[in-house]
Amino acid sequence: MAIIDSLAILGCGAPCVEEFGRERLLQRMDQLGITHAIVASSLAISSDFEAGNAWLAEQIAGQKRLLGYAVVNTNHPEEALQDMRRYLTKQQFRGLVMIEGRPDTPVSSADAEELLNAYRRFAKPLLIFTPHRECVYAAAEIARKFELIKVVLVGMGGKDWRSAIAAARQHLNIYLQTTGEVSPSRIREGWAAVNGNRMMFGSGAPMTDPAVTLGMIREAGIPERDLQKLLFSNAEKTFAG
Amino acid sequence: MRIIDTYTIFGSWPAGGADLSLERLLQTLGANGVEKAIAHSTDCVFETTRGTLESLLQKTAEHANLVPAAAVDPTLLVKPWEFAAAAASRGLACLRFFPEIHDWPVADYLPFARCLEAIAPTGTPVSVAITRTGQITALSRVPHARDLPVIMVHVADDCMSEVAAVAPAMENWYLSTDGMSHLGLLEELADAIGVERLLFGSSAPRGSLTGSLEYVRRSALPDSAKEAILSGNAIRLFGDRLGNH
Repeated sequence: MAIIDSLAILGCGAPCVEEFGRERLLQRMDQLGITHAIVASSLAISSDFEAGNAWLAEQIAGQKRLLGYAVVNTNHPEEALQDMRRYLTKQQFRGLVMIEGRPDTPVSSADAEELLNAYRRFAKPLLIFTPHRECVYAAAEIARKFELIKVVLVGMGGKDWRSAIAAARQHLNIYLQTTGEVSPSRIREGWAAVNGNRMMFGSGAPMTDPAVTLGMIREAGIPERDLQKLLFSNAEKTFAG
Repeated sequence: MRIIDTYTIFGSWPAGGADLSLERLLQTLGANGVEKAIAHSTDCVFETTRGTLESLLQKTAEHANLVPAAAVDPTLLVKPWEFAAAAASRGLACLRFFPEIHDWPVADYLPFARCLEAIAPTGTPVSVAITRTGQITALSRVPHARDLPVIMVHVADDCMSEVAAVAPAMENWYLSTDGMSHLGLLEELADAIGVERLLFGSSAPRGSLTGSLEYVRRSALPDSAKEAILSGNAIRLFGDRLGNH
């Protein structure tokens, strides 16, 4: 069975000493049967998105199993627009991670309106970090205002995962990703809420070993016939380029 | 390979969401071939009284694979150390402390120190949920924390430098794998504090037992180390406490 990991983050490996680089990711993918991964740069998320995006583009160039996300910080709109144009026209970049300063800060749809308007034309999914419910609510507001953008909730609200499931019920352009709390109940309930259609496997490696996420999914008891959707085809459809 | 899960829970969860029923716990233990699971009830955490402890003992007595652990809230009773001493005399696997849930500081908090003093003569292991930086350092300075077997549970990634800095000097301290999921971290911790200090824990059924097992099994550690983490270290630490219920 083909498997797409819809989020891994290359770069910083902390708290481990070693960097989490391309080769380490590919090695883990081979060990676990993961065929493709969509990756972002840790530097782009934590600090300098322009430098991080440029580094990532080099890392994934020529790699058939690795696709990329560009990252933009809404606090730097001019540079964000430039990087959107620079990367999202490329086939290998399949979506945009949008943050507002830090990944745990809710992304304000009002402040980011111009960027979101500009992003619509790329017709690619938008990933928003949602480590807690306030981030979910902000992402849901984006989904409400921009119905044509597919909004992927990275982390699924953390411990507040029920808020992410509620948002996905309410907005048909919200997609759930298995990153976040290691909880089989979350997967079981999320899968049922979106009728097995808008949820996809993502590990967030290295923060979570994909082996753990795959084990959690197995424990959640998703029917065998649906596993292919969760592990592959839902992401394939969402990120088709 | 034998599996002893040193950290499981059951009961209701006020924050909602996860299915933490006893039935779910038993189902996942069976499905994953766990021989023994040390369990506390959420009732014991949120209402640390003799009544909830007795209820826990009754429920776990009905299942040979469950071994009870009591929770102690040093803020709840006038003399929590008397409760702790009484619980420790019951031959439980361990007593658990939750500084964040019960809102008390690990550093310079005498009711906690008195609890450890009361538990010390029994040699009962204690676990402490570590959720913030500074707690491990503070714990190492609590009188009697050096004498008792102490298990650090729920340890967040940003507290791992404290684990590496403090644990080597604390001969009787252990680290639970519950909540640990970072790729490569287990191997690095095994190197930093020694494989013999690592105990398998899953937080099941709130956490994923299958995922936690995969984390150990799919690590780069040798089989002997995996066996020590999954069962050997727990058997050495808890001994008869695993089988007396």
